[in-house]
Amino acid sequence: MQLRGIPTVAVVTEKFVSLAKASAKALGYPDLPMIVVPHPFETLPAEAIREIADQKVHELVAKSVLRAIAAPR
Amino acid sequence: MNARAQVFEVDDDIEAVFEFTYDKGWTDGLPVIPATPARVDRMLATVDREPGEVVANLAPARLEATVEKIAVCAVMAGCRPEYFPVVLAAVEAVADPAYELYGVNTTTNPTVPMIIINGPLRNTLDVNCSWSVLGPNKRANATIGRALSLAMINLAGRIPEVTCKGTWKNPGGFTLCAGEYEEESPWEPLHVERGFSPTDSTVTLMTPASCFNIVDTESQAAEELLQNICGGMLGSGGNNVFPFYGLGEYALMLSPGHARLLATRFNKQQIREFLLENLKVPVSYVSPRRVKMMEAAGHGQIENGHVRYAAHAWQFLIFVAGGLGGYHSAGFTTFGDSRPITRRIPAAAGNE
Repeated sequence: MQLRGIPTVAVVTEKFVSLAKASAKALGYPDLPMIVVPHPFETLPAEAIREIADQKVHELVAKSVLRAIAAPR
Repeated sequence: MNARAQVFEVDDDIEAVFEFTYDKGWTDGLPVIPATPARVDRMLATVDREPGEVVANLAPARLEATVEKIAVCAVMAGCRPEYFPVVLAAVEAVADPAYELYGVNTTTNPTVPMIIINGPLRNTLDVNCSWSVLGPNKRANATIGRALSLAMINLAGRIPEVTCKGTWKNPGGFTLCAGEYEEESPWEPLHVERGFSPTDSTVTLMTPASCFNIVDTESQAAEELLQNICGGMLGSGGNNVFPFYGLGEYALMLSPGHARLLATRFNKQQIREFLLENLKVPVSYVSPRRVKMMEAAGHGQIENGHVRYAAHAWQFLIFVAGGLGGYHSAGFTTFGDSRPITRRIPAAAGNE
């Protein structure tokens, strides 16, 4: 999405942060903001995922807004 | 154009070179041949390409894989110079977007690249297509596959834990390269089936998660052999079925003996169609959650109370290799949505 010019914040599980950082850097976005969530994630029950989403949503919105403001027009 | 490869000074001692290259993180854990400028130049002399030409930006690191840097990997792997055009073609193949190299190199799946060589060059280079194929023996297979692996480490940045999240890795990650035994195949070779001329030499790259043996010592008719081969593939552990991802290909490496018996009744397409229809297990073999996920994937793999291993006949890639009179074939599972890629190997100095 970021490559298509859409300001992006990546959501990454904690075991994949190193890969996400390396990949973002390789694609020219070394400062791509990330929200880190626990691992494993996809096997958690829906309620647990909702709880994590509630915890992380403010961080996500804040980073998204900053990213959009910083994006070239 | 990228800068030429950097030169480092190391004591002229084989162990010092091994320690140095290992500490730099350039090896697969085994000793390498020092890539001196003279050795690299001998590789470069076999191709009509500029040393600084960027062949690809290999994922995940997307560093510039120049012709010269790929030649460095070939030297380190122990390749003879005349193998280099094959290594270069293999790197170009994995760089094809349809191969999905980012996924191959970073996935939690054990998958690694596999090279299948076709055409006259197999014999020129003494590529093993026969007894103990895929085992430790012939230099061409061993070092061409290893050169690609070293390119993944050094040019694609495939680093365990950091970028490569493989939970475990297929031991074929050290090297995985077979020639098709075209002379003993009853059918047209893989590369001809994929649109190349019989006089072309090619590499076909696929990406198996693992490799499993398929034994049949007793069948006297093609039908019973095919039934047993189908049964032998049930435990394949591919991501296609377990759990549900994508439409990747299985590879089936038939030994010349098995291929000859099958060919008394079937062509390759008929074998593929048989496997498509018959390679399946009752849904009770799979958890309800998984069945639900497979249904949601929408590939039509749940049908009449069964889980099919593939959704299309083209998902079975067939080639012939192995010793004569052997009772064993091999199956390879895919990791997901990686397409096999075939590339022509240009004729080069020493390979005419």
